[in-house]
Amino acid sequence: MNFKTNSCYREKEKNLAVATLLGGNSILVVGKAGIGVSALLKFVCIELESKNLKLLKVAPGSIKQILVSLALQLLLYTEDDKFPTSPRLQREVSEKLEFQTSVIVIDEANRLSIAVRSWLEELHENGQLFLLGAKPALARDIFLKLPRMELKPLDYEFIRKIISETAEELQIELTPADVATLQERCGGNPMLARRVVREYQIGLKPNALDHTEWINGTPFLIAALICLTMIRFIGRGIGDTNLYIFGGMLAVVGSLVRLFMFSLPKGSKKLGE
Amino acid sequence: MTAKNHFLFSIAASSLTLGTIDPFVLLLAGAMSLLPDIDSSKSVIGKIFFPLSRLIERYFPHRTFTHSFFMTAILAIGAIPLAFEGTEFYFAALIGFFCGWFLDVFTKAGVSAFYPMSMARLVIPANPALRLSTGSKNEWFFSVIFLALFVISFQLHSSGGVMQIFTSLLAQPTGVAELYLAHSNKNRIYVNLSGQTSAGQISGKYEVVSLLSNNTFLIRKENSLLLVGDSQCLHCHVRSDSAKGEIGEAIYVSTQEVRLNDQPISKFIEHFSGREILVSGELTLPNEEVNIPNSQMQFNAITIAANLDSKTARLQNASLEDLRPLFRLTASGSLIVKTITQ
Repeated sequence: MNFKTNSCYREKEKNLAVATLLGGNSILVVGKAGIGVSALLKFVCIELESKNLKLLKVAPGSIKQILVSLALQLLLYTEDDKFPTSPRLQREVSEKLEFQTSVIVIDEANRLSIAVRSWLEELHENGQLFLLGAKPALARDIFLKLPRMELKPLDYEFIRKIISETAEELQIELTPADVATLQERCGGNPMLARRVVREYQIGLKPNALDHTEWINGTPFLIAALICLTMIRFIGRGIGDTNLYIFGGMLAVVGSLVRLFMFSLPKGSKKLGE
Repeated sequence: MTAKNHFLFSIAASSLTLGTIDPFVLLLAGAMSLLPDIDSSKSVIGKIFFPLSRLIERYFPHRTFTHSFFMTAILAIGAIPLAFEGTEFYFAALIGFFCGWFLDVFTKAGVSAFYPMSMARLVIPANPALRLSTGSKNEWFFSVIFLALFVISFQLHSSGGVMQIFTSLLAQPTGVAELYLAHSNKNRIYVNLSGQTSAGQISGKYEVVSLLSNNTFLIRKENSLLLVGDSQCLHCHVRSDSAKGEIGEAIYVSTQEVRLNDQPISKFIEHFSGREILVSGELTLPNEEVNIPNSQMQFNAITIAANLDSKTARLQNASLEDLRPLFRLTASGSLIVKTITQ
C-alpha cells in the first residue's frame, strides 16, 4: 500500500466500508488492477484508526508468515522469540482474537493460499472482522461469504485531478489539451492515470492502452451490415427483381465481412496483456 | 484519424448514401465531419474555434461527448431548420458528423460513443493491435481507399446511380422500365435489345414508347409497335434475352385531355399535324365500316369493338399515322394526348 496521493476520490465507498466495519460486519473490496482498491483500504484504515479500532494489517504470504505477523501485532511474541509450530501458533492467535475486537486487513487477498483462506473462513465464522481487498476474486470460500463492494472506474473529473497532481509531482507542465488526450488513454483507472503522465514525460507514444473499459463495436457493425438484407425483402415485396438481387448481394457482402471480422485474432480482456 | 481522412470518408459516404455529387452537399458533409474534433484545441476545427475547444477540453476528455450518439441526436434535432433548405443538406450534415466521429472507433483509443450513459470506449475491432494509431503511416492507406471510394461514387452517380448500373448489368426489362419511369419525362429512352420474336431473332437499338407494366414496354420498330417482356412473357411480341436501357436526347413532354363531341377526327388530326403525339383513350364512332389493320405480329394501337348501333375505338399509344384510317369519321369521347417536342 504505497501511495503518494493524499486525496481520497472515493469518499462514498470509504464511508460505507467504515460504517460496515463499525457496525460489526466484514467487507471485501474488489476491483480490477489499478482501480484503487489498495488506496481505498489505506483511507479506510486511517479512518478506523482515528476511531481507535485495532487493525491487524497482514501482507499475503505463507500461513507461517501470516501467523507470525499476527502474533507479533497481538503481542503474543516478540521478534526475538522462537516461534512455535504453525498449528500451535494458529491456535494461540485464534484464542487471542476471540477476546478482543480487531479488524484483520489484507490487501491482494486473492494471493492467499487455500490453507490461509480456510483458516480465515473459520475465524470469520467465529465473528472475526475482516477488511479484504482483492482483484475480482473467485466466487468461493471466504470471498463468497463476505459482503462484496466492487469498485467502478473513477469519474473523469477525478482522473483529471490525478493527472494534474502527478504532473505537478513530476514537475512537468500539461496543457488542457494534453490532459484531455492523456485521459482517453487511461479510462477511469487511477493507476493508469499516473502511468500515462510518466509515459508522457519520457516521450513514449501510446501503443498499449491498458484500461479495460471497452465496448466491442464489431457486433454492432455486423448487425448494421446484416440489416442490408432487408433491401432484399423490400425488393421482393414491391416486385422489383433488381432490388431483390442487389439486396441479396449486399447480404452476402455482410456475411463475408462478418466471417472476416470474427476470424481476426482477439485481444485479451485483462489489463496489461 | 486525421482531419483529411474524416473529410474524405464523409464525402465518400455521403455521396454513396445520398446518391449525389452536388459539391455544396458534399462540402457540407466534409465540413461537418471535422466538427466532432472541436473537443481538442490541437485539431483543425479546434484551432479555428479556439476558445470553445479550450473550454470543452478543460471539462471533457478527448473523444467523449462530441463523439457520441447523444451529440448526434442533438444535432439531428438542432439541424432540422436545415431540412427546409433541402433534405439532402440535412442528411449530409448528419452523415458528415456521424462519419466524423465513427471513424475514430477504428483507432486505438476508440470513442465514448454511449456518453453520458457510459464512458466505456467503443472500438472496432476488439484487438487493439489491429486498430489504428492517429497520425500513423497506415492512415495514408485509408486515405487512398476513401479517395477511391469517392471516385467510384462520383463515377456511379455520373452514370445514373448504383441501381441503374446494376440493372444495366443485369440487362432485364425491369431495368429499362425503371429507367423509363425515371427519365422519360425529360429524355427519349432507347433500349439495346436482343430477343426472340415469333419470326425469329431481333436485335438492335429501339425507342421505348411506353410502359405497360413494371416489366413490359412498347418499342417502335419502323412503323409498328412491339410489346417487349422478359423470357417468360408469353403474350409479348419480343421475349428479351438482353435489354439495356439508354438515356437519349432531351425532350419536352406535355399531356393534355381532348374531348370530341360528334366532331370529325380529321379536325383533330389537322390540329396536331406535324407534331409527335401519342394518343390514348376511347372514342365512340358511327356504325360504319372502318378498316383498321389488325395483326398478331405487332401491338395494335387501335382496336375496334362493335356495338348494336355504334362502334367503340380503344386507343393505346396511337400515333397520328395510326389515326389516319379514321380520318373521315366523326367521333365522341375523351382522349389523352401526350405531345413530345425536341
